[in-house]
Amino acid sequence: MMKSSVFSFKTFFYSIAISLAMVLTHLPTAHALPVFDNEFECTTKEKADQYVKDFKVNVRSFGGIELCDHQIDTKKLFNDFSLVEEGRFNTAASNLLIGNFVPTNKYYAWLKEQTLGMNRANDYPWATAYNSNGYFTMQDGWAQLSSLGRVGVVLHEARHTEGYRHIPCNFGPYSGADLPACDSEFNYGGSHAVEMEYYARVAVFGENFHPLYKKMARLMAMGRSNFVFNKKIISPHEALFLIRKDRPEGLLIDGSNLYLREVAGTGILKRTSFGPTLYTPQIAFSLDPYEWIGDTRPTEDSYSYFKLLTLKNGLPASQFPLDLEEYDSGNKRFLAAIDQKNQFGLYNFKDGGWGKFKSVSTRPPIGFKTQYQDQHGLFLVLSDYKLLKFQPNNSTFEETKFVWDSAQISFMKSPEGEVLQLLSDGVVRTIDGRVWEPTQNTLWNQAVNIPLYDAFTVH
Amino acid sequence: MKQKYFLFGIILALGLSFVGLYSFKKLSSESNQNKTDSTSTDPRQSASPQAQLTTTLNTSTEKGPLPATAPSSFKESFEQIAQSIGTTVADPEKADQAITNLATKIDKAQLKELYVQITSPKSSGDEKLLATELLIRSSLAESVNYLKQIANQSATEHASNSPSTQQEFQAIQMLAVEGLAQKPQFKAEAKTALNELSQSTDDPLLLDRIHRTRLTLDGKVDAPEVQDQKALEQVLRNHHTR
Repeated sequence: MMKSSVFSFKTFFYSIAISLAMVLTHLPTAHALPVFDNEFECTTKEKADQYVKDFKVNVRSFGGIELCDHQIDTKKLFNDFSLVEEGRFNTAASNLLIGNFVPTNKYYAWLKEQTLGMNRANDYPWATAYNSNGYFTMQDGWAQLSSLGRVGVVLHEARHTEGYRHIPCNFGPYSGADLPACDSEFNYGGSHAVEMEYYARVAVFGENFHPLYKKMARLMAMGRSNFVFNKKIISPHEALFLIRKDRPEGLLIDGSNLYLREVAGTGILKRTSFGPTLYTPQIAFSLDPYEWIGDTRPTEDSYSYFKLLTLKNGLPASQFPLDLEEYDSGNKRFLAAIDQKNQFGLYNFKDGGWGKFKSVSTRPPIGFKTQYQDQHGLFLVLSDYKLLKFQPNNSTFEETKFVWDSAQISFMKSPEGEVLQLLSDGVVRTIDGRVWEPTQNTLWNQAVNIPLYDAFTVH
Repeated sequence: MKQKYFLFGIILALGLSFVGLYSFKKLSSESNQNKTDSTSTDPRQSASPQAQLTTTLNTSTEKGPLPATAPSSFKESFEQIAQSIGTTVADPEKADQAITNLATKIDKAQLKELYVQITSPKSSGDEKLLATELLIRSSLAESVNYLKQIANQSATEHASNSPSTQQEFQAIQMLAVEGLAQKPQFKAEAKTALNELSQSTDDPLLLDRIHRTRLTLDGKVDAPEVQDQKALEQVLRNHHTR
């Protein structure tokens, strides 16, 4: 009897234990454990509530509350707020900066102060977002951007709440469009400057950002600096290259530094985007501005557009250019030629060939110039030495008052930006006739400004 | 009596187990239903890149057999890293290493898929960025040509009408150009690609990047990234007025 009771009790006990074990192992949880690491990136409900409240987000317009799915705009927005709130910068280094538009450690608080509400719509498809008295409306373009781009747009819009407005662009891809898309300069401290300041900080001082987020920040800062400020902030730095009259030797003047350079080959000294080149109608020879190689053999220019002279899609021999010139206007490059029939033509980069050549004046052109005194542009020198100026908007020429002095070889700029001129007597002078000191002891044959790509100039 | 206890225990065990199993199944199905609801409310959402990558894997415009389906781990790793770009990271070096590790697994078919993803308007900016970086870090020779093709695109054709997406694509193109200098084993091919690019683009910003990268390959100047960092630090130091 006793044994049976014990047996029954043990059986009962073990049954309870087993049933409890089975129940506990099958207890339903409120949310299954994540399978992939990315599911750990879900925004918590508390954080989502905080963001919605702080920025008065119209959650429904963004697709409803979504804590995990990165495809949904709400989750994208939560990620962006998280980046603003939790992104850290090297304060020891950034404290060396004298001042800033938005304090490094105050982005979240500042953004919250500038935001009266956030909405999602697509009522202005050509815009990325707009700010109406502190109420931001994010367009489809915003949702397609990278994480960095989306954060940049939000910060950009926030600056508008403080009263900063755009003006029409006089440079870059939006110039001539009469759209208020630019700021006058970086120092104005407008929306473009705040956005670029953030990108630069992430790139230079960012500590806990993803490496690709930082990489994108660097590229976006460099790219945008080119076309959102009417006064350029970053550009390739310019140098002056001269060729001696008495021997095939060049001089590079880079800032206050003077360097001897080899000159191999003969031709007209031209500025190309790759540096100096000696141009002839059949072939061009590149000159190395970066070092003295110790090789006197001419090097065919295979880098710049002057290479097109020898390419299959170049001009036929009977039409070898009388003159060839590169010219940049905003975000567009032009390659212009005057053929042996004195006709003008432009290279079509998209089609990979020359457009139709045509006459532009009853007075035949004899060559190109890219600077007249302090004026930059593409100028056509006619047989009577009058100048026509190229209009990039419609690829035509207009008359000017300028007349090229036949004793003039070229106009250039000194490293300090002073206008210089080289006359046929071989002397470099300032525009008011003074001999320019750095080159005063030598006579020069040719001179041109060239871009150098070993650093940037920050204005 | 003992039999009653025994029977009672068995019934209790079975009953509790069924209750537990039923509750688990019910709550699991509710959780999946919630996720479906949150993704179906906004008709403006673009196609899932995962679906797109799957589509790309399963179709081919070339003659011959369909390319082999990529291992699911590559897709998962790609998505995981792409989504982590928009988060702060505790260990950036580890995050960077994850990209390199993934790049070592890429085969030729996946190279092409990455290129398609970069040039697709439906891909997000982070996906394009990661795909470009993977092309840069890939050790396959074909990656050089894909980087060149990316740099040769027209930003206005491969991005939406929004100027911001066009500007982002241009940044991707700058990255692709820089990447050509990061393949020392394909230096000759990279130089050829850069020379060809310098002839076919009329974008001065891209040309600037091409020239700096070309000179980097020749060992004459610092890498563009180094030059950029110096310039941006100078901008931050110089400009401080309101």
